[in-house]
Amino acid sequence: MDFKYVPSTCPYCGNGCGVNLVVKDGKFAGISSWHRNPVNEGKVCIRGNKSFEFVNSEARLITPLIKKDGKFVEASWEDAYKEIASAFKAVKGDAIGVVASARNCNEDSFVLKNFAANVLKTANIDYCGRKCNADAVKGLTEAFGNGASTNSLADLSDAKAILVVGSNPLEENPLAGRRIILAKQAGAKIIVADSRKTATAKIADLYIACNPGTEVAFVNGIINAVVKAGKENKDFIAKKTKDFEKCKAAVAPCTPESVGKICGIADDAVTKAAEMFAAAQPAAVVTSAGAGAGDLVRAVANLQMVTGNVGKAGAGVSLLRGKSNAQGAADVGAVPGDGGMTVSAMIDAAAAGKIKALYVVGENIASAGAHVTDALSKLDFLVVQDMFMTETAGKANVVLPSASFAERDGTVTNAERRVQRVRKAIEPVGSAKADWQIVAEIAKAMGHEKDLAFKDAEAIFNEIAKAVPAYAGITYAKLDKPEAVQWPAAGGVFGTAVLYADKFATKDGKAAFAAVDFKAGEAVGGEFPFMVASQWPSGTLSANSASIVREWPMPLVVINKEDAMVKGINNGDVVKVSGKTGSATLQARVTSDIKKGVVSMPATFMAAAVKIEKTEVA
Amino acid sequence: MAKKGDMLYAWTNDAEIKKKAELGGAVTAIWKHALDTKAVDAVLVISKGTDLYDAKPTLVKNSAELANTAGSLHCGTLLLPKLIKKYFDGAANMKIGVTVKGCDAMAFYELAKRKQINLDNVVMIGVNCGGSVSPVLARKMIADKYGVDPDTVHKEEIDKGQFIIEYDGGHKGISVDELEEHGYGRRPNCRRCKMKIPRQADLACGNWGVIGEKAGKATFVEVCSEKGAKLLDGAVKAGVLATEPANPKGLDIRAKVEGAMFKLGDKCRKKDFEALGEGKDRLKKIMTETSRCIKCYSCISACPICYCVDCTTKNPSYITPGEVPPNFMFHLIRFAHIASSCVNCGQCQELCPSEIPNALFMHAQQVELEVMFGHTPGISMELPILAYAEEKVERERLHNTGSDMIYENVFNPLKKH
Repeated sequence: MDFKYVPSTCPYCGNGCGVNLVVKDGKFAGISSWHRNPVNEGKVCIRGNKSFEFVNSEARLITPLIKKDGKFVEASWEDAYKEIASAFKAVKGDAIGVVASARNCNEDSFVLKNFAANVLKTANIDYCGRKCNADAVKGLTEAFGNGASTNSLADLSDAKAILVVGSNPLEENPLAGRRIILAKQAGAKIIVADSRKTATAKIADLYIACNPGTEVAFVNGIINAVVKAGKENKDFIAKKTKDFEKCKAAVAPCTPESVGKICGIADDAVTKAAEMFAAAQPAAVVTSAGAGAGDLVRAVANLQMVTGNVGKAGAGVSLLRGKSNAQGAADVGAVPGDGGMTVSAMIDAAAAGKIKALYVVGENIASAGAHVTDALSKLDFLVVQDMFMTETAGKANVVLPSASFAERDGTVTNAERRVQRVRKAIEPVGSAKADWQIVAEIAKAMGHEKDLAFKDAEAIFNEIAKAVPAYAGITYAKLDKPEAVQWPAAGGVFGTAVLYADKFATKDGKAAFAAVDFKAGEAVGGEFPFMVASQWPSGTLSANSASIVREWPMPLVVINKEDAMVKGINNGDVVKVSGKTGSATLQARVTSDIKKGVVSMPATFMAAAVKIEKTEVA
Repeated sequence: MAKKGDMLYAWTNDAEIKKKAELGGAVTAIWKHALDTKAVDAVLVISKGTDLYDAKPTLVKNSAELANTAGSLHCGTLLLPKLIKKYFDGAANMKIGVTVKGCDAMAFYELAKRKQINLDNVVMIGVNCGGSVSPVLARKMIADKYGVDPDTVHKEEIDKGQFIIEYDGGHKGISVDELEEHGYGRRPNCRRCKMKIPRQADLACGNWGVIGEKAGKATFVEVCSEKGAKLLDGAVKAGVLATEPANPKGLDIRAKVEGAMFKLGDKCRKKDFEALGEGKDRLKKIMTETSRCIKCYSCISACPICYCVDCTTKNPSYITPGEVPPNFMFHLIRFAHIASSCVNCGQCQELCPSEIPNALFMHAQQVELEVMFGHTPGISMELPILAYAEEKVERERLHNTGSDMIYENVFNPLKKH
C-alpha cells in the first residue's frame, strides 16, 4: 500500500497552477490541493481538478502505429523509427516542417528545435501559439523588449483599475481571474470589453459590449481620450519611451463617437472607460488569445506607456496564455529559424505540394479547419506524436504515443515567466515515452545519436539555461522551491516578478510606441450576418476528461436569445455554422449574455462572419 | 491501567523521537508503538513538504519514518478524513491511525455516520488546535508584518495568543488578534471554531495545562475512549512512553484556555454572522457572492459531508450542464444537503478560486439549524435531520393521510382518518 503526493504543474492553461498528484499504489488516483504553491494557493479549476481523467483515459495511445493499407497497425518503436528515418532522410530541409507543442515541456521543444536544425536541417519549425498569441509575443517584444507578461499574476490584485480586453479570465484562466476578483474586493475598478457577457464581464464595474475584432479601436479610443484630457503621464513618456508622436497621431481620429460606431457601443463608453482607467494608479491590462494578431497587444502596450503603467506592481500588460507551455515553447526556440516557415506557411506550402513531410508533436492542427486537413492529405509523409488519436493523428503515416505530464519530468513556463517543474508521478501508460526522448531516438535512428544524447530532462534543462539568455542561472535545484524562478533569474532569489522597473529590454532601454490602426476584418452582412467572437482552445485534453465532457458534451456556439428566436433555434439544438472558409456542427447555447448579431464559437475555422442553419433532427 | 476520562502528562523515552518531537513527543511515541505492534497498518499524518509552510499528508508504515513527521505545522490547513474515504476505501480493509485536529475529528464522525468510513478501523489521536494559517498568506505575513525573510524561519508556533517565529537571528511574536485585524492570521473558519480539544478522538493531546516540572517537556493526554486507553497502556508497557497524572492546577488552566478560545470563537461568530445581515439582506449577499462560481467542484470534492456519486448538482433538471456561472440552485442544493451537518472545516472556502466565502455561508446556516432542530454535527453518531425519515416511507405516510396540507402533516402529524 503506497500513497504519496507528487507536486507538479497543471497541464491545461498558461496560469501554471501547482497541483499535488495523488499516487496510490502506482496509479494517478486524483488531484489534491497544493496550498503552498504561490501561483494558485491550492485552488484549481475543473480542468486541473480532473486531470487524472484524461491521463487515465482508455483512449490514450499506448503503442506506435504505422498506417498500412489505410489502417493503423501496432508496431514496435524500432519499426516505427525505421519507417520515419527513411522517410525523413528522403526529404530535403526546405520540404519538411516541424510543429511543436505549447503543452509539453521546455525540454521537449528545445530538443525538437535541435532536431529540426541539426538533423532535418530545416528552419521550418513553429509552435501552435502561432495562431493565437505568437503575434502578441512579437508585439510585446517590439514595444518592451521581451515577449511576455510584464508583471506577475499575483500583483494584479494590487491594481486600482483593470482593463480586460480580448480575454475571459474567470472562465479561461480562472486562477488569474481570481486575482482580478481580489483586486475588486480591495476596491479596484474592473472594465471589461467583450461582445459576450462572460463570467468575467459579470464582475465588471464598467462592461462594454464591444463588437468582436474591434478591440483595437476601443483601446485607441481610450488612449485618445486620455491624451485629449491631458491625463497622459508626460514624465514617463519623456523619460522612458520613444515615438509617442506616432501613436498620438494614429489615435487622433479615434473619437468616442467614431469608436462608438466601429465597436457598436455608446458614444460615451470610451470616455467612461478612459476616465475610470486614468483615475487609477496603478492600472493593469489583461489580454489573451483575443489579442490574436499582435495589433491589440501593441495598442494595449501604447495605453500602458501613455499612462505610465509599466515597471511597477499592479500595472503592466498581462498576456494570459491558453496553454501550459505556450510561453516556454517560444522562449526555448520552437519558432522558425532564418527563412523558416510558420505553421500557417507550412500548411499553405503543404497544400501547394512544396512541403512533402510534416512532423507534428502534441498539436491537433487539423482542428483549425478543412484547409488544414486537405493540406495534410497532400503530404507524402506525416508523423504525429500525441497522447490521443486526434484528427491530425488520424491522417498520419506513423503515430507515436507521448507520455503525459504525470508520466515524465520537465519544466513548463507560465504566463508570468515562472519556470515550474513537472514531476514524474507514475510510469507512462503502455509504451509511451516523453516527447524529447522520442525525438532523440528518431535522431539516433537517423545516425545522429550524438547530437541529442541527453541523460535526462535535467541535462536538457541545463543546456537550455546555457543557450537561452532569459533562462540563464536557472537550475532544477532552484525550481524545488514552490516559488520556482520567474525569468530572468537575475532579478532576485525567485527571479523577476515585475519587468522593466529600471529600463526596458530594448536596445536603447526605452519602450517603443507604435502607430496601431484599427483594421476592419471580414465584413458581416449578406449571406454571413453574424460576427464571431472566437473561443480557444479546442478540447484535445478536456474532450477526454469525463467530468468536463459531462458539462460540455459538444462544442458550443453561443447565440443571442433574440437572434435564436428569429431563426427558431432552441437551447441545445444542433446547428450548422458556416463561413466562407468552412463550417462546423455545434450545439446552440441560447442566452441573453451575448450581443445581438454576435455568436461565440471555437476557432475551428477562421471566420469573422458566419451564418447559422438548423440541422435536421436525427 | 489507563481508563476513559484519565487526564495525564505523557512523554516519550525514545531518544530519536525526543530529538525531533515537540513537548514530550507523546503522539509520535504512541504512533511508533501502534506501528511496531501492528495495532495499525499505517498512520496518516502531516509532514513537511518543501518547507515548513508546506504541509503534506504522509502515509507512514515504518515507525523509523515517524521522526520526520513530528512537531506541528500551523500552515497545515488540510482535512484528512476525506482522503481516507477517497483513497483508502474508507478504511474498510485496513487499520489506520490518524492525527486529527478538531475539524478532522468532526469530519470523521460525519463520514462514519454516513457509512463512508469504518471508524472501528481508525485510531484517532486528537491534537489541540488554535487554528491554522494558509501557507502563502503566512509567508506574506512574516515578510510584511514581521519584516523577516520567511525562508530563514525554522520554527513557528501559536502560543498564548501569539504567532511566534524562530528564525536565523532571533525570534518574534505578534498577537494573533493584531495579525487578524490586519488581514493576516488564521483562516476565517478557524477563528469561529469551537472544537479546540477533539474529545471525539481516542486520545486528546496537546500542551495546554502542562505546568510545573514537566512544562514544555510533556504532552497533556485526555483518554477519551477504551481504544485510546488500551493504546496508551500498550505504549507505557512497551517502555516507549511514560505517564503521570496531570497536575490538578493544570486541569484548571487547560479548562481556562479552552474556555477562552470558546469566547474568542463566539466573538468571531457574532461578528461574522452579524455582518451577513438577515433575511433578504443575507440572501442578497449570498446570491451576489456565489454568482462568481465557475463550477470547479472543489467545494464538493473537499467537503467531508459530500460524497454522492450522483450529486444532485449534476442533475440536468436542476443545473444546466456547462453553464458558468451556474444557477443559484447549485448553491441551494449544497446548502440544503449540507448545512445541518457543516462542521466548519473551511475547505470549501479555502479552495474556492472565485473567493466565495462558502464556509461562512454554510456555517451561518448550521448554527441556526442547530438551534432550531437541536442537532449538533461532528460529535456523535446521531444522524442528520435529512436522515430522520426515509424518503419512501415518509412519502407513503403523507400520502396515506389523504391530506395535501404538507406543513401541518410534517410538523403536526395528522391522525389517520
